[in-house]
Amino acid sequence: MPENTKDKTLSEKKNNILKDIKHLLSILGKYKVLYIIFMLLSSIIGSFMTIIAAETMRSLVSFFVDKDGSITVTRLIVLIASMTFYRLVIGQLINYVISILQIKMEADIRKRLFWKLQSMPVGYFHGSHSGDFVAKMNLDVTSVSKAADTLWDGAYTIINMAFIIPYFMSLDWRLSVVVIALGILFSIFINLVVRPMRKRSKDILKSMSEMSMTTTESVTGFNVTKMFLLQDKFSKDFSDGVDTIYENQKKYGNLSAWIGFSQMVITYGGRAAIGIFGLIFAFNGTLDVSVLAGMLTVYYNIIDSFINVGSVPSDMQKYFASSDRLYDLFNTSSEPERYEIGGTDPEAGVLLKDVEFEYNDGMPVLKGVSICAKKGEMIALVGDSGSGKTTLVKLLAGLYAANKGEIVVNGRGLSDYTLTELRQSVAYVPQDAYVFNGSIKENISYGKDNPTDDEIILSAKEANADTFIMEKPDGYETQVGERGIQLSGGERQRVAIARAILKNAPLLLLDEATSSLDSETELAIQATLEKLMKGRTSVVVAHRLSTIINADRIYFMREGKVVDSGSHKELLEKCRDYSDLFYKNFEKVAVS
Amino acid sequence: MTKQTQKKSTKKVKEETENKKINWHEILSIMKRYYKYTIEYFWQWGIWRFIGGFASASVGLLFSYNLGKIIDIIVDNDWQAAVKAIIVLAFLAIFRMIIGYTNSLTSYRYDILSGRKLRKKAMERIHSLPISYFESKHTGEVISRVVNDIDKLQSYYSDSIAGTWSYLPMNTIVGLWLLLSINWKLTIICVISIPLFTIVIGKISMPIAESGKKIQECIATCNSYLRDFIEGIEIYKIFTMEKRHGKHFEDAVDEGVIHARKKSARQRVSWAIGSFNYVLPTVLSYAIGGIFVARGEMSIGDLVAFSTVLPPVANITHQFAGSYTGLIEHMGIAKHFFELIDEKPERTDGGDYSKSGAGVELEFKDVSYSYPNGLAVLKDCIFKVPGGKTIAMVGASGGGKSTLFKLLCGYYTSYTGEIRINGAELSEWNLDDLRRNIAYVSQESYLFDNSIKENIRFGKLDATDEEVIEAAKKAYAHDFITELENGYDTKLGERGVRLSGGQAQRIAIARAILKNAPLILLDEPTAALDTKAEFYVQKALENLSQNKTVFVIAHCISTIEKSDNILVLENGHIIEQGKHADLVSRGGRYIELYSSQIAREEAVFNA
Repeated sequence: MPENTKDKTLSEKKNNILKDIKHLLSILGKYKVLYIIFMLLSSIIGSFMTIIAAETMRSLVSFFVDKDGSITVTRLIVLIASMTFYRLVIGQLINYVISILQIKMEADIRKRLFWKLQSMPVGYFHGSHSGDFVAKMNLDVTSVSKAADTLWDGAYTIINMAFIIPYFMSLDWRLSVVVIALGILFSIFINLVVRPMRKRSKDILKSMSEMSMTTTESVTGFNVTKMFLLQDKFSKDFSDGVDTIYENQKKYGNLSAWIGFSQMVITYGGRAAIGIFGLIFAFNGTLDVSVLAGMLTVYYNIIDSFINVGSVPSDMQKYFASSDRLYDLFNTSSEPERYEIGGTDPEAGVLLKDVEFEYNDGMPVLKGVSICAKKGEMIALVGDSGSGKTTLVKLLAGLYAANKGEIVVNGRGLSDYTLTELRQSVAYVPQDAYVFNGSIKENISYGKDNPTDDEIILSAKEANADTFIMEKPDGYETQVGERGIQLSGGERQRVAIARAILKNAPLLLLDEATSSLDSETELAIQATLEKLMKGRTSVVVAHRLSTIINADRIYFMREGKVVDSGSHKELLEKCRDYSDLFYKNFEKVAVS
Repeated sequence: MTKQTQKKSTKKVKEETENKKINWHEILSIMKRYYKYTIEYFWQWGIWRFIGGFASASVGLLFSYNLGKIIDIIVDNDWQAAVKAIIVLAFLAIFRMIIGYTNSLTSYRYDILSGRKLRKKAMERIHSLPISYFESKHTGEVISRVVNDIDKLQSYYSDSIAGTWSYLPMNTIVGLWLLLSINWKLTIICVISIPLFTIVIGKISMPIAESGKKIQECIATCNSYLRDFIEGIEIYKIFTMEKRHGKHFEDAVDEGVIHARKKSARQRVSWAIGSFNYVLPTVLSYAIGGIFVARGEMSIGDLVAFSTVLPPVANITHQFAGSYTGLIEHMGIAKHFFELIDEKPERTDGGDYSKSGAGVELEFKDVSYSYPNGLAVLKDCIFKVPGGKTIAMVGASGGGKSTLFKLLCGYYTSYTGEIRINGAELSEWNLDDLRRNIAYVSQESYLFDNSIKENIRFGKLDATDEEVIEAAKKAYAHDFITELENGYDTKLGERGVRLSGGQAQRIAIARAILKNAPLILLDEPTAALDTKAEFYVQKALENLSQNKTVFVIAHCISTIEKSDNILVLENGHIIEQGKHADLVSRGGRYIELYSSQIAREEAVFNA
């Protein structure tokens, strides 16, 4: 992910809490209304019950001290009973409902996030480290739950204050002023500490994500780590990373201890102040003892609110950064429904006209390429690595959008297709066949929606994969492991071919593997591929003579351009570079 | 996974399902272990948090007590007592503030220092584990142990061991003492129900850990789907797998929700009962205490003090419930963590049988090997490789060739027969020394997220820049590297994605050249490349292989013909071996393979 730009937008947004809340609510999606309702409900009831508790204490004290008969036993019983009922039943129920809501919200966000990611263009993930990416996503999702939590805290704080402060004032305004002044001082102090803490917590997050990357390296590169005895070196790198985390955390902790301090100031300092001033006022005769008792009971609650005033913004800062990131992601444009690349030629199976393309890094890969294959024709792309052959194939598969030019697939311009339609009409066998964690059967079945077992087996047979699959202990149910680690390169390739065969699409894109397979299997597969090409428009990144000879036309590419085209024979005659390349290799075979 | 560990793990699963009950013995031993792991930090920081917990609890209770008593002072109109109370309250408040600072500081230090140590331990262990561990685990899982789990563990432990467990008992002791001193009868009446409910909470909380573990598992599954998507994105898009994988992902999330709901429901019930514990005493203190006051058995100030001190005492079970569910949940995570720590590391014993000069000698005597699932891969392999010679292995894919290499590298231990390297059985070798003797180049070389220079230098960590460049030149990589914008300092993305296959391969070879090992294992290093790329890689390999013992898995005829000995491997058996000419004249399986290869190479444009 483009980190820099995001940091920039973050700092631009500064601490616009309202905007953050809006973003958070938009991420919460369909649960936001329910969540808000319960959030408010629990806050209002909770605040109300605090006043009931204070009234209970006040009534109790004046019942005994004043003995003026204005407080009846019935009133005491009602007060106590309602408190009990709230604590035991209502409060628990509300909390339960909210926790279920949070669970559902988190699950919902996870799902939507996955769908969103799936809809992002390939270029979005370019150069991102998958382990790092996954870790970040997890962190962000859990942080959103926490952000929702802090939102709740915030709402509770505001509502609570709206209830309690007037109540407090009505009891005794002098004590109230003392308490509120203390609370405001506390909030100011907290804000002073929180600012530098934010920076620290950012540092921590950054060093954490670096560490997670080092971990991923060690785990995924275990083979090399072992053979080159890099354990010590990597351990040291890792341990340096962990030390950096520690240093950052230490700085953070030194600051956060002041928050611990100030919380005690307001908790105990405030109560002490009420006690001390209360004593003085009571001796003055200007404060009723029952009122003092009531205030002491409620004070807990006031402290909570002020502590929240201090901690909620810092928590929000902490967690809203994540929800902000997710919000940005949710609002980053997905792949368009279709690419705006026109072109018409009803006869063409594949047509590219002056196509230009560069990846995000600004290096042009295709510099005005034009190729053409009539429906049913097979064309071969020949050239050295880096000449843009594979990129061209990827453009045809709709993985990237060309920057300029026209592209026609199967008689229709690219803009005629939705991306899904386009991809459905293309079968692609890449050089490095990626297989997904799961069974062999699953991996083949990706070629088609709900294929029957027979169809899968048939495709596997045609791809010459059936034999090796049946030799596996679990047959088609054999788990291939992460990145297909349980299969050999040749086996992976055959699974990929079977997948393409099952797909049965009108356009075949084939990035020929040179020799991942041993020769016998390969000859057999080649026959299969030839069969597969028949009747289909095929674009092949070619390495085999047979492919080249059979091709209706060969495009010889170099550095992002088509240097020449024609049949094998023609090219040998008219294109010097082509014949050089060919004879050099041909001689090699002849000598051996 | 070897057979034994697999057996062990199935046994473990069985055990887990058998005793769903919380095993206190186990919890205690896990806690002890955690404590032992972080003991130095406990004595450095945790102990202060512990003492701070005592202090904060007692000071807090004394403060509440004195605060409640001011009602009496007012009612009695006692000036002297008022002055005393003011001084005491001020003193206690200030003391409590200072403790607030130190508690926060010490607990966090304990927390992060422990985390640092656990991380290092975990990584140390990961680096010492045998390859089979990684082959049987999804990397996302392993990573989340180091990254996420430890985070949760460390903060839980510093909160609980040093925090909760110090102020909980203190709240109990000091609180009860204060309550009893106010009115012992009322204390007994109010407190009696607490132990009863505590037991009930304990019972209810039991399955929470199980749910916590299941939730973690579901998240790990989700992570692996996400990784699969990012890494296989091109295939993913073209085969429009979004819907199906999206569904799988959603299923995993939904399963997590089920467990999370279960957990939440249980937690709620146990909290509700905890509240009962908290509310009932308060109600009793008001009601019964009121009667006592009316009867003149205690003063109203006593009652207020009593009801102020009571909540933290009654709250003990509430907190206990919280810390208990936390304990059980985190025990699950801790168990996971220690499982990793307890994985059997590769052996580190054995000697160094390296020889200087003519390359490594190899001998296989009746070597057989089966996968953990029982499938035999190699059967009774016998052959010899004298030092400095080249030996080629041919045969259909899946014939066990790569496995044979892995055996040589000491990756798998459960083979039978003898593998002698420089005359010493593999088991007598120190594995690090053995691997120092081997350079292994596979079809797809792994490059690290690092600069090119660093990647090459991994072959020899103390290599100078000149040595790195020299190696790159020999690997025919120098030219293309210098053409890159940042030259040798160019950073490579995950798995070296920004380089072409041939370029990546040449960097891997440069790395191997720098290592300068006497035994070269080549597992079809040019298989995934096209002509021009293959041409240079082949030349680079020639430089790498000079004066070394070379063991190559090959299809390319020129390589095969040139080698000093050829092994024909089929279904794990070595069915033929000898020089090219001998094998051709024998007219067996080799000639079949050979002719199909010739047919193929003729057919291959880029031979």
